[in-house]
Amino acid sequence: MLIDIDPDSESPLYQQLHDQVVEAIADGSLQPGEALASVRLLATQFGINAATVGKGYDLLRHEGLVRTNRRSGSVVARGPADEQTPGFESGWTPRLRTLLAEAVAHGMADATIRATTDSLLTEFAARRADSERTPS
Amino acid sequence: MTAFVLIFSPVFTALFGVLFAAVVALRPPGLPLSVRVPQSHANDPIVLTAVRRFRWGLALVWVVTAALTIGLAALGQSALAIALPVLLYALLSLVVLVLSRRTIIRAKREGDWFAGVPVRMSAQLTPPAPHHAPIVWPALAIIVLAVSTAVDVAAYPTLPNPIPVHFTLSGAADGWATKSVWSVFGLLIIGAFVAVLLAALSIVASRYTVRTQSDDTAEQAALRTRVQRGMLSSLLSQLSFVIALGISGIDLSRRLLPGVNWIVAASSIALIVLIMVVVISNVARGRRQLVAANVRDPQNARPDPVDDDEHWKGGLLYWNRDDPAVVVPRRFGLGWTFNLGRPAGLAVTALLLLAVAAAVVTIILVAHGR
Repeated sequence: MLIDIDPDSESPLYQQLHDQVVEAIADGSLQPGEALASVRLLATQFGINAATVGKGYDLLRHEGLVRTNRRSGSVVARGPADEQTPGFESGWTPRLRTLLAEAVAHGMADATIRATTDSLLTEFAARRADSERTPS
Repeated sequence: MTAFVLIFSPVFTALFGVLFAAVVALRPPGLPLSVRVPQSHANDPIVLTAVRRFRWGLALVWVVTAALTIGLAALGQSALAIALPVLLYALLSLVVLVLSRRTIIRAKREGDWFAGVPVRMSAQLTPPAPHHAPIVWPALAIIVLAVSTAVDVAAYPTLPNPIPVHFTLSGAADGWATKSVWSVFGLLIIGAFVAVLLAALSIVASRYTVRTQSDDTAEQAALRTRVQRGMLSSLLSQLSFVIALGISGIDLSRRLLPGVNWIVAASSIALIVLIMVVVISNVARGRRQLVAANVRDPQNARPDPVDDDEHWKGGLLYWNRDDPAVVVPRRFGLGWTFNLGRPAGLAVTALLLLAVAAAVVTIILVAHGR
């Protein structure tokens, strides 16, 4: 699967890499156990500093989404079907709170916020079902 | 002989020109003549005119160098008539490239083609399966070289001393050397070295990192990687066999048919023709396979690649301090080039240039009987 990063974006490159891997795990385009390109290979393909890619991978490892060992390199550590990561919610709720507060402060109606959240979750589930039917 | 002098460089340069033009078509649609343009301008009239001009320019250069061949042959300069037009053709075709791409570069700058165009850098997160380099060709290369070596070993006691080592274009001996392991087996040793080097390079090519064009879809990026690895590795491994075959042929004809002068010249020509056939057939196959990778679906448009023209000097040399890669895929032509913005890339390029210079000096010294 392809990862696209935007060099002109305000979001740092390692963050963009991290976000896309997280999204790919959520929508099933990356399956648990699937091998990821090494830091060096990815940096060479992008033509960016290996430290930038390493930072993105470190973040994913720290969150328990990616696992690296010497023999098989980096692999996807878990998927949506696995048991919930312990202690995840306590870190995630404050961030969601900020995101929701942002939406409310900008005048987004509660119903619209709920509808948007629902449609995104439905999209992830639909893509997941899709990739199970046609394994890549 | 005169026929050979007259035919060699026009045929060679014509094949080279066809190859040059074919290689241009191997590139993704966003890289006409090695200039990065957004998809919205890939079929711009200026781009199409420049590409057409490039082809006509190559044809014109061919006519000029063919005329030069005839002129030099008429003056009786056989060696010059073979070498000079080929060198001039290589030089002038680069000039044609640089001149034809200038109009695209100017239009792109003046029209600000990349203004407001979303660009991305892309990579394949799940690494594509490695391509396996074909081993049958290097194996055959070893067999033919072994056969020649066996024949030479058997013939060694009866070989004359000194033995002829250099021949005129018509095949008559004009240089001799004391009989030794080097003067008898030297050609085979060089042949084995080149064959092993090419086989090793074909393994490198089978794993080579192909930079993803962000306007490719995931399937197209995977196809591009597969085709480029397959094309380069099969090209290099077939070359290892062809060179071993040619060198064995020259060696065997020298040993087994020492009186038949034209055979050495004929094997040399056959070797050059075979090399061209291998290169052109592999490039042609690569082109056919890449057709699907170069189709752009406007309904499902992918973002454009970043405009990296500033790092490509003349579209051919790569210079980027911020790129960690020492070896990068060429943007024009086949294979790789070195990143001159990295110390290692600069050092390897300098070493390669030194090696080429040393080889040229050696050939000139040997040709003039040292």
